[in-house]
Amino acid sequence: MTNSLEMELNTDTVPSRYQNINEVSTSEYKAIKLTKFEPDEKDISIIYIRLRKPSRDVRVGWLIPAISLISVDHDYSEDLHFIKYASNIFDKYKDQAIDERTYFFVWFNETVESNKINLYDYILDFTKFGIYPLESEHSKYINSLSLRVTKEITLQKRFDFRIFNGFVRELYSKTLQNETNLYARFMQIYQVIELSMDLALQAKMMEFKDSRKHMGIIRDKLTEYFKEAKLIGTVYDFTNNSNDITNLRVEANAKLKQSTGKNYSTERKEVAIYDFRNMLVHNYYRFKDDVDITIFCDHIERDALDILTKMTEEKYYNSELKARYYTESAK
Amino acid sequence: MIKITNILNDKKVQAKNIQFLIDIKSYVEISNKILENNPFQRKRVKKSGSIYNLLKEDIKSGCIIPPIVLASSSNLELESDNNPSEKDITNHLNDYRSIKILDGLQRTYSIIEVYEENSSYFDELKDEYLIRVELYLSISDTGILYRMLTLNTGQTQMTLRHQLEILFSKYLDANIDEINIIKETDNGSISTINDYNFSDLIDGYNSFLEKNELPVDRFDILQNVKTIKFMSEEKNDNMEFVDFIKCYHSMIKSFDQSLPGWVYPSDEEDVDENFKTSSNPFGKNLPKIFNRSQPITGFGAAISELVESESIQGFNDLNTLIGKLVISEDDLLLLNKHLDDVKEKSKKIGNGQRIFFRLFFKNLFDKDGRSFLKIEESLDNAKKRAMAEV
Repeated sequence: MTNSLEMELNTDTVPSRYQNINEVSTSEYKAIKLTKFEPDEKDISIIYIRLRKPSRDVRVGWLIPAISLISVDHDYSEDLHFIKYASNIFDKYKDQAIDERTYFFVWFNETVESNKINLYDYILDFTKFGIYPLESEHSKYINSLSLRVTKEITLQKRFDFRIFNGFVRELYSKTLQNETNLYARFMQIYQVIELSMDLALQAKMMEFKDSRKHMGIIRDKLTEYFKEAKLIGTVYDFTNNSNDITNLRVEANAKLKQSTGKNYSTERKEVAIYDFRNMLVHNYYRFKDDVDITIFCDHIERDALDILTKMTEEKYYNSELKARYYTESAK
Repeated sequence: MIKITNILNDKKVQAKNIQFLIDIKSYVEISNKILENNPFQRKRVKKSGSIYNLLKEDIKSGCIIPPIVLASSSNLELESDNNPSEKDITNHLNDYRSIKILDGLQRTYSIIEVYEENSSYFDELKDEYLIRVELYLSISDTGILYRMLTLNTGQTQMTLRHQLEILFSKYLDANIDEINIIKETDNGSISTINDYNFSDLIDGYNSFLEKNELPVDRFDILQNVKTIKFMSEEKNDNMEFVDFIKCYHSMIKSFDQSLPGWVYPSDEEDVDENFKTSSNPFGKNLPKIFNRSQPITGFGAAISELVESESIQGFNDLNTLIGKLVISEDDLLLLNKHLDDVKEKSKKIGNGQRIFFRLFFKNLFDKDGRSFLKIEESLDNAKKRAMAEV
């Protein structure tokens, strides 16, 4: 008996219009698989990469859910470009059993190579849409803050998670896809915040050292940064402040205000995150049935990505990340 | 050489069952022609591998294989009214276009292969290698289907849909009254309400038998048993494939008679705000709306449910109701609008549309329902329920 989420791309299931490889050789296209918990055949998108120097958007390929390859009901079934890319995927994966949660990111190789793009630097940007890298198992989780896939997506540069070893690698290749225990999920993602706070403290120390200020001043100011509440603020300066955090504020006010006395409608986001984390660590068994961990999980998943992205771009942080967390080959 | 060994009347499917022996060479000749003339029966099971190789070796060693079961829907007359003769059998077997292999397809492939690989060996045998065959004479399509299901359950896993394709392949590129059944899957060939894709009609009848509008590619033994039970009930007479097609077509004709040559307004400005769609409308004319898999399967599943709940007795009952429909242009605009909303919400668009159509037809023809024969209300109710289900 086959898995009920399994499908096959074959001459019977794939519409004949997607089975024609005409003008271009399939070796000129490459594809990787991604995964999304609730696949939608309408999640078809043209993918652009934003390059710098000079700043421009380059069209590289398509995002195509596997289930859209067995349907002519979506809006792209007669689009010649879509048909060409779909045919390439069919040629590559014909007669293979594929999980319905599979999404294909397929690109035209010449465009990518001529612009010297490492597409793995951009893959994690798909997580904003609830689409994760497929390294081992398919996604069992949907982030409630996931954006809707639009007809065109311009991927922001993130980082190649494969150059990390240990925890960060595991987060993006396994944890985010598979961890459905919300307590465990929150704590594992929060490790990125912890790691970042550690680096932030190191960076502050270097900053003070370079400033060559009076030791007394350095001692006073540095002491503040030994407090996690302060450090998390530094780390959260790296995040994207345009995300709507209304639901987080509401949940924090409902569940934390009584014990902390804070008004989370006016506090910065990381104050709620930090207090929530402390509540989980110290008082979980008192509150576990009463708290919706999902909202906090989903927010810090987004935040962690922004934080790591910024850190890989900042010279000092990147050198520290490299020294501590990159694989030997990436160092 | 053919030798009849036994003749029995099968009272369930109302047909004669003739048991006979046939030499391997004659059987190979006939079965090759049967398989060539039925495109859906051609495929060899991919994973047959060592089991069928073993069978071939066994046949060569003189092993007796279980009887092959054939069915003939030929109208050839018998020599005598009482009992068929060997000559009758030969005539029926030679009318190979009317023959279906009900049981023993993979064995037939093995027999053909082993004979063709060793023809001189078999031709020179002192005692001919004989094969036992059972042939149902003058059996109806429903009878064939019933026997196929009951014989195939538990054996080589063939979906009901595949069996329907084999059974009704005679309608490929054929006509039923003014209805044209087209083989090609390219939607460009469906240009009038009289044109139907063979595959869509099979989908629809499959949905009727299985009471399920959604495509299921996998063999499901429990579903098979339920379908057998449904078919074996006497009250389900007159629910043949052709009856299904004619009933559905009469419903489309009623739309066409009320709104002849209807097309979706070409200018978006001419569409009322309440009916505007966010993407391409589902169907810009009647064939594009109704001569497709989604409404046909939805119709099949809905009617099946109504028959089971005894809201209607069968297709004849339905034909009467269809004559009472009052249809307006806004109904088709509303249908497109609702389908657009369902599409927006559905992760699998085709499935969402099938669910919508099942709910629509069920609401429309349910005598006990509040939107009985009211198209607009049926559409609205269908949309509400479909949005919750997708």
